[in-house]
Amino acid sequence: MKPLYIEAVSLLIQEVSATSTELKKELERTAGQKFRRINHFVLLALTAVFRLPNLSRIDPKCSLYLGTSNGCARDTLHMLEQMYRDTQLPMPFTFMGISTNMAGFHIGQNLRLSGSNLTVSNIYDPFGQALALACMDIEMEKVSSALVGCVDEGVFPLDEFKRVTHKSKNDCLLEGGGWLKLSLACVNPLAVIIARESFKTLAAVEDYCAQQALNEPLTVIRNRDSGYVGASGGIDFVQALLTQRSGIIALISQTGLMHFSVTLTRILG
Amino acid sequence: MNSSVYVREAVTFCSLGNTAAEITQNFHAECPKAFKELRFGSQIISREYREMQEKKVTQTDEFYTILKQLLSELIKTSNLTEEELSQCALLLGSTAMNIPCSESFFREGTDQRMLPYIGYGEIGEQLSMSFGIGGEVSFFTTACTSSANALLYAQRGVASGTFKRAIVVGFEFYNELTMAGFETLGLLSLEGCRPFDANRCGIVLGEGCAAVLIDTVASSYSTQLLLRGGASGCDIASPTSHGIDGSVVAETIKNALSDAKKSLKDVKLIKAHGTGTENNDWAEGKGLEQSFERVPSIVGLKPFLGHTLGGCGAIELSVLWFCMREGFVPKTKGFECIDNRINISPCVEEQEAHEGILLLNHFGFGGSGVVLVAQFQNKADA
Repeated sequence: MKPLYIEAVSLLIQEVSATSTELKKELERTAGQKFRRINHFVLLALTAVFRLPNLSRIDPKCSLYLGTSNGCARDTLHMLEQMYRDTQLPMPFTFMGISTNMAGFHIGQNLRLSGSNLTVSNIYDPFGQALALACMDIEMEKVSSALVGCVDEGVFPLDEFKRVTHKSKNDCLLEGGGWLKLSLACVNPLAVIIARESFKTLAAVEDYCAQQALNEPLTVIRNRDSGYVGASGGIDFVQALLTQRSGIIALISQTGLMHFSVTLTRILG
Repeated sequence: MNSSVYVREAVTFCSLGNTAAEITQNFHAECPKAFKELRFGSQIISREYREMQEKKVTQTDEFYTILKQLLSELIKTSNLTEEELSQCALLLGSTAMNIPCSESFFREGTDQRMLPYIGYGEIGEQLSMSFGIGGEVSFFTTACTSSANALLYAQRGVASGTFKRAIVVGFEFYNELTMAGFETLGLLSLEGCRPFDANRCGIVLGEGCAAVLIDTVASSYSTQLLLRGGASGCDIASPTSHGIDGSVVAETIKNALSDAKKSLKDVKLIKAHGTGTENNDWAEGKGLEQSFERVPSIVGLKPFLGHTLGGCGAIELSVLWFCMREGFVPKTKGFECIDNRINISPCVEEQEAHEGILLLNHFGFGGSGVVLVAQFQNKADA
């Protein structure tokens, strides 16, 4: 495969919060403008993306790939409660806002991006699936740069949310998102994706990683049972890119019943 | 790269029927109007709606039963083997996903009312596990372009060899949240769907589902539909519709044809998005006018099928292919009076289906736009 450069990464992780005041302040400060009528999911997505450095230099043709486990769950629940408990018609802007791709739209609008703008989900690894689609588009030369991210929000009441999402009652729940900017060419890359391989079984993936580790130190990232409200692979990958100074990161993604992939990324320091 | 990516088989359940024969026949029948009623306190809202025939989703088990029936039918008619299924990707697209299942909990008022829709990746997982579909699973949620994006990425995946083959499932089932939401936006029609008509009055919603097998293997029918490419774009002008100057629509058409290595003069037929709202008609109409010196034949299927939102990409592609296999392109019902501001006249009479390139347009909330380029031809590529 062609080397795909990771120009920049950003991360936003916080304890699941009912209020948006602080995030909104941060977003308005970094974006340099006021935001009205955006829901919590969109706010998390935007704030995380505005933590990326050098956004003013982003290519308008850059495409966006957002992976999410649960999408805009908080306002969707709120609207259903309004309809069935309070017998109220939904408010137009709230209704529009629950369309999960609205986060991608707001990012596109604020960064002036006209490329494709996808929101995808996958039970095992939504970030891995978003990354797979982005890599396919870049490999096929459909696009030359991409924002790839993951965003998930917590839903109240938290105990019920923990039950539905199989989290432990004592877990501290975390929400937020992470983004990386990928391109075929860049001046000062943070890391480079050097290989992506697909396998039918996890055992084959592990064999492959073991072989790779013989040559160079390897940090293996895969979804784990963490306090994050969605699948954690993307968040852990971004965290590793932010903290590691050298070596290779192997991101293991399961994106189908018999479909596993490994993305090998070399840290460039 | 494999340039021959076929629609090998398709199965659809929609308001016109549950088999290709029923659906094509019902294009010639007078379909009775059906209405859905919403009650909010003393307020009663009654709107036209295109319901599926003999199928209803009000609970989780019905939701999965119908989707599994759809996939069983597709697997049976295309003789897919276990081995083939294990190498198959599954790409899904829907707007409301499993909201109808959530609503049933709310209606029943049980304590366990919350969030069955949490984690909609579960839909893909349930289906892939039931049928042993082994490849990648992607659930596209890009509003009304969801299953059109799924088709586009199925085409790309198969063409590039990333997927050996792919099943695309597009679906949208009746739910009160969608109906109420479109009502508050003032988009629902009081009297039918009339795309591009000067006296248009909005959207008629509908429900349905379609499963489409995309493969390098040609279909067993005497005529073939190939996916040649397409483009997915985003109009950042407004969250509710494409800009009414049509420039982004025209750009997406240009990109789609360039991706498919076809030119404007190759296009013989356009399946319009044609929702019957002023904004969509103007954006799409202006985009078509800007693109073509002489706009080719246009067909709009939503007057028959209703707007099946995220499901419409897969459903309308399947239904159009069923008709073309029978030798005709349906008329666009409801169009009577040209809107002089856009000058778009969809065909109001049934036409003979001809070989050639067709564009399939889809536009949705969140600025999402997908134009697919397909080719209808009499036999498989050599």
